[in-house]
Amino acid sequence: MKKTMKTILILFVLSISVCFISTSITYSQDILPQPGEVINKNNIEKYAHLFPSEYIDGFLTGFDGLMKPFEITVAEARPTPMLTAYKALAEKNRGKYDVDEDGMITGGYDYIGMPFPDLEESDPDFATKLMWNYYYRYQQDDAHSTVTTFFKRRGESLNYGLGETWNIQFTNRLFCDPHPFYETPNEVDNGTMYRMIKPESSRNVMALSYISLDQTKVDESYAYVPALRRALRGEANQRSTPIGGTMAGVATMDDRAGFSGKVFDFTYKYIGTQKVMASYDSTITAAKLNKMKLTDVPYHNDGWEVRDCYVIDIFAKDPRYPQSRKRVYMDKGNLNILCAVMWDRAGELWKYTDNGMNRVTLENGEVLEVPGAGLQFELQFGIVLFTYVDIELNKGIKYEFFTPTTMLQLGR
Amino acid sequence: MGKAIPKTILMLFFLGVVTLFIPMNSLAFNEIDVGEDGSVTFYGWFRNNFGVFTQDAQPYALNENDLATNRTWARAYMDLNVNDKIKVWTAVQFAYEPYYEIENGAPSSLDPRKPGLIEHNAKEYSEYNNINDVVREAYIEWAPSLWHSIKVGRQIAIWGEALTSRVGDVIHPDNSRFAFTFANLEDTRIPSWMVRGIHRLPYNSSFEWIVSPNLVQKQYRVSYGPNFPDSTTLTPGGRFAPYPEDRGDIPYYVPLNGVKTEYPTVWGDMRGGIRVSTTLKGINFGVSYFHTQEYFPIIDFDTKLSEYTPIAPGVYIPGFVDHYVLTYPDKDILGVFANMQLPWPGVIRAEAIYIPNQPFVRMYYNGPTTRDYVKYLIAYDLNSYLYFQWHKSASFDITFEHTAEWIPDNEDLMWQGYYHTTPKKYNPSFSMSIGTTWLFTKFGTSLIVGYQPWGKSGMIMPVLTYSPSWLKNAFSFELKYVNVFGDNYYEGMGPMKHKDMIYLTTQFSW
Repeated sequence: MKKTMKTILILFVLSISVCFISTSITYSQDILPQPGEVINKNNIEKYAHLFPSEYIDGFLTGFDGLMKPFEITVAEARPTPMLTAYKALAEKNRGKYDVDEDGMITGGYDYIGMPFPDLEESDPDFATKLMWNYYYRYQQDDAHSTVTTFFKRRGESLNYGLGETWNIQFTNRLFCDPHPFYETPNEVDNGTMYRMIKPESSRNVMALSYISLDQTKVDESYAYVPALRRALRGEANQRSTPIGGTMAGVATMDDRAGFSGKVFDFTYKYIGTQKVMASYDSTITAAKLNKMKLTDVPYHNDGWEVRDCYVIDIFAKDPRYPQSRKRVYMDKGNLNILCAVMWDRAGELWKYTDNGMNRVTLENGEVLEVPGAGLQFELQFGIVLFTYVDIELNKGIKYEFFTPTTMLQLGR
Repeated sequence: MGKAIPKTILMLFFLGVVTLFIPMNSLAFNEIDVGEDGSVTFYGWFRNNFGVFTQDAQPYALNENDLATNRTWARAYMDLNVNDKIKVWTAVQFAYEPYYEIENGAPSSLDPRKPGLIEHNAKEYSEYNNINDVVREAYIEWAPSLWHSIKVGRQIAIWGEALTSRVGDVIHPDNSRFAFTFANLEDTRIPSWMVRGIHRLPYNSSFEWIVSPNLVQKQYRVSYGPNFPDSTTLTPGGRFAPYPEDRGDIPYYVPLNGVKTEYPTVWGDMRGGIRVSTTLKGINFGVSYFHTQEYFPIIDFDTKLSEYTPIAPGVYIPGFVDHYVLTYPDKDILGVFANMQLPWPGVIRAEAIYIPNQPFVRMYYNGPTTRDYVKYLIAYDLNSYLYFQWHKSASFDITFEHTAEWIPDNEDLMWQGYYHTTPKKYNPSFSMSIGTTWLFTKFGTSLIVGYQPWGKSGMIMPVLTYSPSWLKNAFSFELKYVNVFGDNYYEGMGPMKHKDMIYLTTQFSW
């Protein structure tokens, strides 16, 4: 009897120990890396909960040899909250607006301030309203960016591209006149113009697009092709097909910044929250990269901070939309999307976007996060793009710049 | 060697200078700072077009040589930003083409005032010693503000909406001596000297004006084409010359040596026009007016004392004779255009021109005349919509274009001023193009098909492109087949129907 009890006691202690050890090996979801710590294939399992599961292979194999396996350096987390000037603009919207069954804002939204400043996770339309808040978040009044791109197909050599982008928001403006709302003849919400500089064979290829204030209306799009010397009317409604089949098509118009689609064209599902890591103020800059003799795609391997994020799944209303689902990880504090995963129509994993951010100090002393370095992966074809954005904010660019006439003037 | 530097060496020297602009490791100059606010960038390309005719025995050729083109050319661009208000842009071009055996016995088109045959010296189409060939474009742009910009110099300005033909694109004549214009609209344009202003107006509008004196050499002031074969003397013509009028149904003779050409004068025949554009409710539309000359010669008689009626090469007799004069009469082009995104997938483009004084030649060379002339385009583009799960790297893009000419009073006219064919009162044409790229632009495939009921004629043009990753995608290859069909040689596209060819374009961009 004594022997039996002793055996049972030993087995009990052993089983408890095994349970404890196995639980410890699984790692607590609260384990966070320390500033200065390096995360790579040797310890990614410990911190896998801080990345979308689809990203882990980047650490283990570099996405099957597409690039070198990731090795990132952790930095102290310094979350950047939403601008107080912008939050002040939204105060008048508390409890004022709602969404209808189609997901459109009701109540006569005046495009000033985010429409749902008092949004709670318990709201039955939380995901949709959050995406409207995301769409109308403050990005800039206007911006002029130089975009440096390195891209590579699996098994081929590295290629380089250079372009410049102009963006303008006509809504929710804070600094440049007129603000907060810039009335335009064609009633648009925002405009983007892009001009390629390199490779030389594509020099001066340009694209211009507007999104209407009323998202149910058709947008406008123009393309300038140097060989044709004209600004041609483009198809504005197909925002997720590759632009001319170019490398830019790895990240299409809707994929910019993680998600740049028209909110009305999609439905949303709130998945939950997750701590996610992203790179901030990486020291990998375009100026540095241009001095390096690169043979592999660079990436922003420093400045990685932990952020609390909303996880939202996005589904297109159009059954022909190329992506069956997109999952975005959105900073809870300032609503920037830090990374996004995309699946094709067959449900196969297709693309991944990782958005590094830079912090800039605005004229009122507040800090704003803007696009910095980022990676886009086309996992089925085996293509990776690294982009670095050098951005100048709020220079007072006018609506008249965003017209086909500018394309004629810039084109050669 | 002689006293002068041989032209061959001079050409090689210039090509070598261009080559110096190619740093092979980076394939281009990076932008170079110029002063505090300026920068300059150089870029360009080397290209070879190699093509063969696929139908043996070109009409009137003295042999069955099939070489259609072997043009090697280089173009270099300079983009100089002096500051944020002043820019300078130049495009310099050199080209070499060998002597083409198929043109053996054909008259030279270099200067119609100096008749002679194409020589076996590769000078007919090569471009290296004529400033108008070499300096293709050179202009200064002054943009004092966002609202205004003025470009002064030799440049290309294109109006109009059509992509596969020309409707409102009326500013520039063509050089069709070395290529089909319909297969190469950009490189066959002859740039013009002009002052061009583009001004923004309120409410999403713009105003553009052009003043263009005829400053280039005479043969560049109008379209520059190859000499036709001569059916009477059985003389061959240029490689890309249309089939000649050889039906012999009326006695006529246009002696090649008896032709006088009256080119437009520099200032008296200055060209110019305006174009206003606006966007309203998503529709971009506008109107234009351009005063110019007919770019294709209108044959007139000049019955007067003539010192240059030939009786033999280089031998002229005085006397009152009829001789033919190539003229380029004035004309005025009124245009209207519009484009819009449809509420469903697709973009629609439309334009029309009306010329109240379009020059024509009356049948049987009964002198020139002018008539009303209308040409219009309706086009539909479906881009990015035909996108499939099995072809995720690009969409299939389709364009339909319908153009038509209308000559209300056509009965006594001679088509093209040359063929004994009355131009149709209403002459429609249709074209369709479909294309896509593969593996994110590594390969491209497209097909262009055009058809005119007149003469049951048209063309089919499949194109295959390949852009390998060598040297950072600096190389590109394009294989194109041009098939021209028609019931006869005298209607629609029929005059070109024996010119089927396949050609490969290899380009290195730097």
